[in-house]
Amino acid sequence: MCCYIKNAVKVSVFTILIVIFNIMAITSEVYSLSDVYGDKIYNIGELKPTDSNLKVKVGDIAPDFTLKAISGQTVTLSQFRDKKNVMLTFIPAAWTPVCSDQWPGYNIAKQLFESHDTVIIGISIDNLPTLFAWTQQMGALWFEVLSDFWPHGRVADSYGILRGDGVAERAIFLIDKKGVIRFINVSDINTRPDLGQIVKAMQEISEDK
Amino acid sequence: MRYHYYVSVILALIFTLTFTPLFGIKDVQAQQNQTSEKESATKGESLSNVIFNSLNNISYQQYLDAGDKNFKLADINADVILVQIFSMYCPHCQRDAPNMNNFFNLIQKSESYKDKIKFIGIGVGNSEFEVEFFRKTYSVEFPLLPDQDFKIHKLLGEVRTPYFIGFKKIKDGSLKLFMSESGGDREPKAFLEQIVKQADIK
Repeated sequence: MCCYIKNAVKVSVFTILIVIFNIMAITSEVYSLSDVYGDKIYNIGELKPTDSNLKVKVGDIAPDFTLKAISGQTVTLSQFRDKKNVMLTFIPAAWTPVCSDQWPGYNIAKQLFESHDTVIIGISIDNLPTLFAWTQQMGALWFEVLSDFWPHGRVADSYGILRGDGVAERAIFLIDKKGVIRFINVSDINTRPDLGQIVKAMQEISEDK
Repeated sequence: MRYHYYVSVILALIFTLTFTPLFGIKDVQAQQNQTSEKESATKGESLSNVIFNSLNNISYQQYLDAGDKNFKLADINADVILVQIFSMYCPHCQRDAPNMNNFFNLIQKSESYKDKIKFIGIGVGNSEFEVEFFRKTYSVEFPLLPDQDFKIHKLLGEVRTPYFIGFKKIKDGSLKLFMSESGGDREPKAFLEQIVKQADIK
């Protein structure tokens, strides 16, 4: 009988731990999610802050690329050379909590970016239909959103921000009109970069001209 | 041997079913439903213990009349304190900003309520720069305070934005929660009437 009870206690403790673990997973953090998305956001929970090694540094010429945008355009980074500064904003994945609350902030800051002669290019490893549906939920975005879906994450990888699980880091690259990288911010994937920090970096580029 | 296995499993089941309620996980779904009902009634109470900073903004300090730049909600000179939880990055909050301005103006134009009801916004996950940017973009006239590291947001159980919390000051000067609910797109006049009715102010 003692043996039965010992085994029973072991199985029970294991079961209880599994149930508690599941409850913790269900109630993991969401971070300021707008109710504009309803229940359509997939909660990925807390992730490893960063999971890649940068291949570029401030002062380098930004790796060029050509990708398709949800607008139907094909966008090449070097087309902005001698015309505009460019902010590349890589987000890890559509329909996830922090990402869904990032580009809508830039969407109300068009004047702020224009005043620093800067265009925004949003990039995600998601495919075009997914990006289209997701950004429609945010409202119309004024900047181009490009898909780095295939070859999967090639552009993210050229900058050294493709994570081991195939999504990109949450990263910002500010590139001046000469094509030189002037500012890099690879955030903890679970948090959003402060707009103030980006504006300060744009101001420094503007003051240099 | 097989018999031993079955007896162990049956005993394990009895043991688990007996002790699981001690951990409060008798029925996860039912418990979540009960919690959300309770939370909708009490979410926000902890906000009364938070110390806010008026960011050295003179107009904020004059409006709140809280005696010091560091203050608790109970220090605000009003009968009713209404808090909007928002984010600069929230499309719904952006769309709702003109509506919230109209709501604030309605209060300010009312001789009956302008000194009784005070309204502030807390930008969850927003830096001081970001709340200030939101304020300038939408010409917001009521105080907007940052919660950059989500401390307040976590305290509130990470509510979705926008979210509204209302306190009424009672005789001993402490605060009583009378409203805690989500959702924007509120018609200003109807929202003010709802506040007046729920807070039971004249």
